[in-house]
Amino acid sequence: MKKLIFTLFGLGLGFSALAQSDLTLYNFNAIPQVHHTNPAYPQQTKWYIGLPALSGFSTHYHNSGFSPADIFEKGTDINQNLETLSNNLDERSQLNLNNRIELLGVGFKTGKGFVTLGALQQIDFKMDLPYQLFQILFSGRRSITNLDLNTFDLEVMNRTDLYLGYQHKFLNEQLTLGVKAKYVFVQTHAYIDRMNLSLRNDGNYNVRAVSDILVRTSGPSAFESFDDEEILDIAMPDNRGLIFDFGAHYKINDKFDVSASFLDLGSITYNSYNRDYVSEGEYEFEGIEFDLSEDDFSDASSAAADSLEEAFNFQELDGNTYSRSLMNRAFVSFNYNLSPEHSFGALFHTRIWNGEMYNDYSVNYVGRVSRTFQFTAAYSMINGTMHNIGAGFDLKLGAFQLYLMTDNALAADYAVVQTTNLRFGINFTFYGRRQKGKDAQEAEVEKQKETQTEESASLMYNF
Amino acid sequence: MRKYGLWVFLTFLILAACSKKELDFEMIDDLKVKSSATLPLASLSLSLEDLVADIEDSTLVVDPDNALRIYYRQDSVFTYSINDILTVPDQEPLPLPVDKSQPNFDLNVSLGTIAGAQLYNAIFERGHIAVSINAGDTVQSDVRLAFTFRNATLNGVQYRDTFLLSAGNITAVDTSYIGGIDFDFTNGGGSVNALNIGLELIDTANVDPNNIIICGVALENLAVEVATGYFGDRVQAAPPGDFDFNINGIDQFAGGFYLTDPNLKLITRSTVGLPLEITTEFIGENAELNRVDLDNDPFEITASPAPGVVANSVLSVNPNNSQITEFLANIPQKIYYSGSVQINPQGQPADPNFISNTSNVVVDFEVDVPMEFRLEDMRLDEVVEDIGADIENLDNIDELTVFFRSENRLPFDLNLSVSFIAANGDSINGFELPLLAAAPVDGNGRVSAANIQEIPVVFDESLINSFLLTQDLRFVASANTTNNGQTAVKLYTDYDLKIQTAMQVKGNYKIGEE
Repeated sequence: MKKLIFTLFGLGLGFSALAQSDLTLYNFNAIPQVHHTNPAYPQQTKWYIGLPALSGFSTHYHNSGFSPADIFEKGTDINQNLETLSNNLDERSQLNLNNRIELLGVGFKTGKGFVTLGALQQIDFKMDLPYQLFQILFSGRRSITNLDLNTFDLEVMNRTDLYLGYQHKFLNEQLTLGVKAKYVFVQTHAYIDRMNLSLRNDGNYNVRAVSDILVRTSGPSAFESFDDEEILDIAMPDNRGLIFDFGAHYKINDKFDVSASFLDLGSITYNSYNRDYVSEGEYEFEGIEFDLSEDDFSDASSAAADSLEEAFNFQELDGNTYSRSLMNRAFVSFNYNLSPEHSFGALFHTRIWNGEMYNDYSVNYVGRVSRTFQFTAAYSMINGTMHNIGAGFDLKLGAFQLYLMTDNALAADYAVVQTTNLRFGINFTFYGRRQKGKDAQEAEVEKQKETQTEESASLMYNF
Repeated sequence: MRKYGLWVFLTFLILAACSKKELDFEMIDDLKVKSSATLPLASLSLSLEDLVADIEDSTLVVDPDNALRIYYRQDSVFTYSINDILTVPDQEPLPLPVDKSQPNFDLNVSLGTIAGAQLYNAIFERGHIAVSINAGDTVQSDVRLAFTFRNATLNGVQYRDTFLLSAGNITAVDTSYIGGIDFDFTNGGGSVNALNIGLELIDTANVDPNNIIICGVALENLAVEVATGYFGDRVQAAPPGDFDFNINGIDQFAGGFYLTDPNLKLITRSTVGLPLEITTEFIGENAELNRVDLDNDPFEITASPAPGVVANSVLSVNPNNSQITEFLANIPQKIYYSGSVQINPQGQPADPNFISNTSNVVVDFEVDVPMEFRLEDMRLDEVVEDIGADIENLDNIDELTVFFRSENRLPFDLNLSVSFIAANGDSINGFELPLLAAAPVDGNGRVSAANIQEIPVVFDESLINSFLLTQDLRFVASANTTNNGQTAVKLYTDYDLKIQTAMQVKGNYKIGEE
């Protein structure tokens, strides 16, 4: 059990981690890594190489339940804060952490297509905030003996994605379709398959405890020692699956385009280093039993403890293979292009985890000042947390492209942050020959409009 | 348009830099966990059937109809043997003179006895005749003297023994063992204690004419084997003693225990052929060292009708002849006893007394009463000392309620008074807990239904604060049978009791204090 705790929290908190929201990244195709949000999103570059381990690093934090100031705001009463906070939490309150490093990324244009390939390492930690425990500990109105943790979920994953993606333009380059295949190795995984744990008072003299718990773990860290294992078995264990991303981008006309993507479709089969933690039982406790006709009561309490342990039947079972789908994600976007330099978009993002949808909404602006400098800004509502002001830019210095972005720049005020992330990286990019000066392009656009040709919008991306 | 974009970007930066809230992580010191829980603590059960079955050496026994009774027997509380009833003391020496001219001397005397005993017959299992011979002059030749008990036989012939005064001596001392000698103290007629003694100077030729020889004869170390007669009116004390008397289950209580039909028996077995009167004193001492005297009357033990036949006598000690009600209500834990016996308390009986060295009188003590009783404020007073070590976290509790639910098929109430005793010995607070309500009983005193009740005891802030100052806890339990102790009840093994306790605690645990 100790190993289980290490697995869950060591991974989750040690690397500080979720499932990214990627809201600011989605429409910002100045950087090639936009294909991680939609494999069909048209690329500005002709080819790029992400510097190994430097081309993409992102970290994400999301706590839909509370911010630090909700608890620790100076001049307030921490106990009152926690009471208010506890009463505001519910079964949809979540803590998500994610870390992602692009180990290698390469992309190049080929005719009407664009190929991407590379490798990602990412760690996800997702858990429901145990609001019942908060309410029991801090609300002052709930009893620990009326506890129900049936809605508590948690999942931790450390995985490597080897990916190969391709997008192709159709219909005079108005429609772009993309697909990405990812061969995923999971080094460590743990999730709660069932967490039916409840304590109930049936009157004052009875506590009924019910457990139906299955926590599945996979990965050598769940075991006491893996010193003798081959490094490849640890890095690329037999916990793998073929995962697909699909995307589409459709340019309606010069002013409007829509896009959508579906990510992480598929499941992982876990075959190695598997350990299940199981408890299934029911126990009714009516106090330590004493038979007053006996002279010796010394064994009464230990007998009660033994009965409890026996009733819950805690077990560690090794070797059970299991499969589990990745958390699916989807984006839908609608963009309005005011001009080649300025566009505005509306974005919907959802994650589906354990049958529940967690939705994000965003509006954004993308400013394409020049090839050298482009920037974006967004306002997002992420899983119910409001006022996330996203911002980002890329700076191209010759062949080197530096980028930095966040979904919530207000996280600088860490006191109130509930969601923040940071993404940065360095790419080696080539946009191809600059076709014409900007003014000349605009003149050509006007000309094309007059002739009603279908190629005008392609200029939007030719810097 | 470029400038619009820059404006938007700058706006974000400004927004990011403004409206800072300050955090104060030192608040964590004030953090309190405010939680509550209702937890069952204990489930206590008691079945009288199990209780009786599990108790070894119990004074409680089960009748065929499952009724309980107290049975206690202490054998041989008093034992009297022949030495306590009939002893023959050493006799004073009798001077018997003979000489050459009167070589024979006869003497009739009475055996010395105690308390006016008049023996008819007796066989002595052991004893001696001590003889001292004193001559007027030194004898020149051996002189033999023959001593005879004319009313005694040894091995079927008249007892006669010869003693010697050796030549050249003027005195001699000798003894003769007479174990088994059989005396007819009636001397063949109506006499009692009669001794018919004869002395003969055998060697008269060896005695000068003027030399008078005087023999002193005495009976010593006599132990009776069997005897008949009238053994007098002797009073003999028995050695005092004590024995434990625990009635399991109520042995820690004191007072208030009233048996409906209290009695005990003193059972005697006598193989002594004479009436006896025994005077006894039984004093019961309870857990609080209070003593109550049974104060029973003396009683007579009938004589055994014939040698070897046991005569049984039973004395019932009841409220009419003793203070047994008070004696048992005191719930004695130890009984101290002493006593004495008087033989022939009514004077000389028509039939002669008889006794042998195997005869004795044994008095047994027996209590055998049904558990039909009243309890009227029967009390248990206990102090639990030095509880302070276990309550150091109590100040984190805002309110504590302890619930007691009882399902009582026992026919008595149990009220508990708990006192908080401070270090200086003062009682600073406490609470009352009517823990059990007596089950109702039918006309025969048998429980007819369970009495179910639930009592909450609320430890409010005042009580908790007092408890924090408590060093000792004093529990005073008071038990009353149905109808406040006015109804007599009977105990059966199918009675049982279940007590459930639970605790509802509202905590306010300040983490920063750790």
